[in-house]
Amino acid sequence: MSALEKLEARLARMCGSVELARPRFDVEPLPVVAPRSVEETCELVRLAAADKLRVVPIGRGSKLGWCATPGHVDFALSTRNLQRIVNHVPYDGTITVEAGLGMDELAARCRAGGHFLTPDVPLPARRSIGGVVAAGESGADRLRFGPVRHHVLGTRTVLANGLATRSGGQLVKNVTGFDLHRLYCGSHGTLGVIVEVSLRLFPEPEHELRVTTRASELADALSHARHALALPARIVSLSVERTGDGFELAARLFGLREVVDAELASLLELWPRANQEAGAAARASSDAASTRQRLALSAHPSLRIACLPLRLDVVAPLVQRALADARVAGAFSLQPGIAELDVELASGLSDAGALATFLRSLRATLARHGASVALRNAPRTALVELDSFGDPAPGLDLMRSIQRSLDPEGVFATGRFHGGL
Amino acid sequence: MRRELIDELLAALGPAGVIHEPARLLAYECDGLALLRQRPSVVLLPRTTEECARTMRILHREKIPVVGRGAGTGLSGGATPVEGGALIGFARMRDVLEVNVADQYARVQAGVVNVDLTLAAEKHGLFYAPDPSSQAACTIGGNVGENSGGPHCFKHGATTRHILGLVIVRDDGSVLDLSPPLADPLGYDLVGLFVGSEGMFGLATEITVRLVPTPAVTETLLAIFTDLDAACDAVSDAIAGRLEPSALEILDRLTIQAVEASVFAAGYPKEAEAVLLVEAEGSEIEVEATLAPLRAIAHKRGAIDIRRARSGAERKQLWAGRKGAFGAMGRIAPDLYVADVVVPRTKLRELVAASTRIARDKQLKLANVFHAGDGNLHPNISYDRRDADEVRRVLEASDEIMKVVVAAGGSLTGEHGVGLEKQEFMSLVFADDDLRAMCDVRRAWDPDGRLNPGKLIPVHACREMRGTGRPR
Repeated sequence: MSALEKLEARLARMCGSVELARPRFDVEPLPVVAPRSVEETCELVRLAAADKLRVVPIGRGSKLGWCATPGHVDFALSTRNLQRIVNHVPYDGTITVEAGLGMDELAARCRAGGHFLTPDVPLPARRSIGGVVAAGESGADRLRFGPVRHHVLGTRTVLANGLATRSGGQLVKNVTGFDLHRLYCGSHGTLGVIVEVSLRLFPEPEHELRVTTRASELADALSHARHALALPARIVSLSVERTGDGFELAARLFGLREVVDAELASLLELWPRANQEAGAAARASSDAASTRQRLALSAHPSLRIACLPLRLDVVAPLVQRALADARVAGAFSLQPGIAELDVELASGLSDAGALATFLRSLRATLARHGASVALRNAPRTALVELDSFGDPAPGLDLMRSIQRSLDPEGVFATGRFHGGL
Repeated sequence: MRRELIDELLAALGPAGVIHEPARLLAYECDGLALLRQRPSVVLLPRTTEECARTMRILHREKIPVVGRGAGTGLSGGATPVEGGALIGFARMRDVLEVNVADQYARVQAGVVNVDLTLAAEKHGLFYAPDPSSQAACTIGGNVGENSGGPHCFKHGATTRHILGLVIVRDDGSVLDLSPPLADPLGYDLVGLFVGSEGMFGLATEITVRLVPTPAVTETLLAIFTDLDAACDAVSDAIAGRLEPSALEILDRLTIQAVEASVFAAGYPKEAEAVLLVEAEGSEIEVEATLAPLRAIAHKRGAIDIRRARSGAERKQLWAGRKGAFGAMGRIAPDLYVADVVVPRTKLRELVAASTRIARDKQLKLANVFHAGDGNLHPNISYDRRDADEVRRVLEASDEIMKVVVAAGGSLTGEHGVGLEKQEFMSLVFADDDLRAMCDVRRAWDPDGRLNPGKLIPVHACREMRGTGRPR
């Protein structure tokens, strides 16, 4: 029996079943174990600590391409079987669930209680709430609601010592203790396994509209977007997608019917030839047209570029020019209100070296405008010299100290996150 | 403190930056939690990040514990000095460094007073949302340390949602510049982690805050009730009905009477048992769509009158009463103990009643003024600190209130922080393993545990944090 087979058998004895899988496109198959309870999760982490095994915590594995591949990993620990709803209090606008619950099921549960779940992420059936929080994945709806980290009221997290620890709580307002849940949110499982999440919810909209218009040039699209954002309307999300012959702008409005109708009227003054769809149709079109959804399904590398809203008018054309100069083809979309650009690198960069050169040059250009460039789904070979998240951030030494402090033996595989964390 | 050390600090900060005469140190013995006092060895008042860093390098070399202090308005003893320690105040760091209108943020020094930031932003059609009752005095640095709230945090969220960047002076005097605002943190969210760390991770010297556009329309209502329970139920109904006003505040009879007899008189009817102050903001249609169902709820719950502020001046007056409520309590007794707990919003009525009952059983005067929309109660107990027996009863009542609230699924603090006041109660909410993780993270920031030692974490939970600051 090989060492891998022995480990598989051992993990299976603890948690029922183990599968061999490739949690990323370009790694060797790895045992993936999915504990059935928080207690089993703790046991698995304790086993890893005792036997000096390296663990990668995962949810449903949809965002592993955002990180580098760790130097060494023995098994992946998936939270996908942790699906309990721990406490749902619709009349308090809060919910606490286990981390493996799918975003689709969670949103449905919230909807039944009259609430809307933010972040509104692409392909919710493929994402778990734990994975979304661990990756700090905000939706396009952050224009209205803010980033996901603002709505995480508390977490329960299994640390490297195999103990499940709490931070924050289940209430909408609470400053008891250090906000370690803010630390875990967006840490990509490098500090622990998030096993439970408490969230603040928002009112389910009474009425929903998707309003679209077109522009032939990027500058025109940006100008349309700028004017829409200046309206006294609480737009939920605003996107600009490149199409075959120009750009499509889409604004999502929702809330009380009379408020949405008034917002629509003001938007139509700016976009007189706009189309509109209402209700579930609006939602379906919005998802289908979304580059975010396409990128979530794509095996190609992609870029997430972020900057301050004011600088988007400079940054977006620079990105467009850099892509044209390098003859890179692929989806291109931006969210002007939150100043995020998503770019698919579908073709044009022949190998990992070309990709690295392109990225280095783009980062240098955009750094002058305060923009960050994250690389997703990159082949391992492209990441030998490059950090997928960006150039070294201030405070990296402190981040390493925090990591060492919580996980001195390195139970959670390092090297995946920014700066080799 | 040794004379040569004082001289070195004087050389670093100048004579206006060092207070060491015992009589002048008296003013820094406590923060808003006047029950706990300790005179610091020295008070240091840097003007810049660089001066603060220079000072911290000296204190690091000398292994002197350090407590940061904004305006000293905190109510949990977070800025109570430690024996033999230095107090670093930010009263001379009051510059608004930048208001960036297009990107809607401002950069300020830590000592900028909360309301001054809003005044600086106001002329650009922007405002800073977190608005603690002490906003005319409290500083942005102090707000960051405590993750402060305020009435409008119901809609806009507490301080943490408004902090985009920080410049932090670390325990050893090194400067960590996390100030360039980014949409998402690169690496771990150090800024999010730092906010609310009660001065135990470092000293924030410059802060980048998010500004919010001033709403087109703001409407304020005052619903008058003859029953406090009914006012609480109206708020629970509003939350259950998923309504989104920007503030939902309740004041009870004793508070109303104190306010109306004070300079903060707002025109609250003295015969009312409770008033519910409601504010909504947005477009005209949005405001009306929010307030119409709220009016219906208030009526259904028995409000005898609902008044609408007819002008900006009337609105300001209504809010002046609410924000001056703590000050007005001085009319009831010389001292005020402001409790701060959060309850699930489905249990407002029962927990307000429970805290009132606890105070009554101990023959104490309790007034309620609170952020009802967030479930953030402030049972305020008036007392006289010269009466030792009354002080004992105040502390017993506070303990009982916290226990009842936690048992009902509530939390120890919604906006005042743990500090010294609630340190020993942390174990009601967190297991030792949870607290140990907090200690581990603190150690990464401050390996010697010299920054605000002996606060927040109960001593038994974190042995290595005990007594690390050595008195000189």
